[in-house]
Amino acid sequence: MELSQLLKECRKHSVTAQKYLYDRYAVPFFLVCRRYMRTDEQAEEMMMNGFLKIFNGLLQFEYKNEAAATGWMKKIMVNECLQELRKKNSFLTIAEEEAKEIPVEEEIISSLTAEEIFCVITRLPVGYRTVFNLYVIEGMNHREIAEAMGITEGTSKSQLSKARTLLQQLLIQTNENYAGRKIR
Amino acid sequence: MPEERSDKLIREKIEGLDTLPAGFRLQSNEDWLAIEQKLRPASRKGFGWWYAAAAVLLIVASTFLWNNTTLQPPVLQRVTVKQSKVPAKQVVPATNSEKTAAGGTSLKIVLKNTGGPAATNELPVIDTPSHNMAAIEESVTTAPALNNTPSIITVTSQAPIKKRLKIIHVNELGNEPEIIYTRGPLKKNQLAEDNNDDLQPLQGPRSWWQTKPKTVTTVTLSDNN
Repeated sequence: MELSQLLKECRKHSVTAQKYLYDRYAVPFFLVCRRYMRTDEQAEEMMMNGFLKIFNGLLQFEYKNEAAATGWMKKIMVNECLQELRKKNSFLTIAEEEAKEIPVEEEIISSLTAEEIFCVITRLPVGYRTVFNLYVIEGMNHREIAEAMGITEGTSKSQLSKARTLLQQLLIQTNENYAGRKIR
Repeated sequence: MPEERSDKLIREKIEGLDTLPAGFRLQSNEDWLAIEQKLRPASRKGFGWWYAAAAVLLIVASTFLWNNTTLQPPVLQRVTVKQSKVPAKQVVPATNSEKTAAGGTSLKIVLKNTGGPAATNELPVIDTPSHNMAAIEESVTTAPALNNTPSIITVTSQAPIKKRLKIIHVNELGNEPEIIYTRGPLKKNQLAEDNNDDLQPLQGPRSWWQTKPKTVTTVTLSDNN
């Protein structure tokens, strides 16, 4: 079933269509939330809240194409996570310090699987993780990130630099483990 | 810039991830049930129809019950007394009443003339309810006496049919009859209060109005005090 038809049925409060939409996007949206939240339970809760907002907001949503609809739903999930993190005051303790940025090597990234990179990202501290996700994965600039997180642009840039440095170390460590398993 | 290439590579790998990596848990079914419960109040339509149907059913049931439980008033029969001969002016209450075969009473009303000797005349009987006897007496009309002879008006009333309830013995209720203990014959020079040792069970059940005999404890004083 096409996404346009599916969303049309969901707009009519069809339980079958809503269930179908949920089954189709539950895992991808859970992974989106899990990149921001600390535990699986928190990510599930954010995912459920996001789906409720999607079902309730379909009346105001105007379908253009599948990519735009998917992006709209994904943005709802991200905003839900950011609201929760701001509610818990997770970004207040972020210090604005300049760090030497170490770029992540492409060879290491290429040698690792998507699951391994995902696991490494979830291991980052909440501030690094959020800025990295918003800048690298969501494609937001530092001004937008600062507005969404309630921090300054300078803090956003420093957090991103630290995130890259730590990510590099973790990827190398993961790659060594991966390389070690491959040699054996 | 190298950062942009590495960022792009990471983004492509992360966005292409569709399956749950090892070590991560998602309770999809339970989460959907929770979502569905929250969606149900908004998605349910015509919810008010259930309340309307329940209210209509309640009204119909209560009307049906009320009609069945209301008592119907007794049907009163209008009484007219006819007499073939002209009775006397005075109405004397009946001195005797006879019971009819139907269970009612037959009332003889003797009408006496003030001056002449009394005479009885049988009049046709009309059935009337017993509670209307006072109205019967009042409605008796007398014509001027022709021969000054009193006449007897026999009015038969039909008592309402009484339902005789079936008398059920307590033993028929199904409970085990209790054994009633009684005292045996008193021995010589023995007080009734001391006769607690010869308690014997009664032969047969005890009716509901029969209470258990009370056991009396006696204290005997010795003569050495």
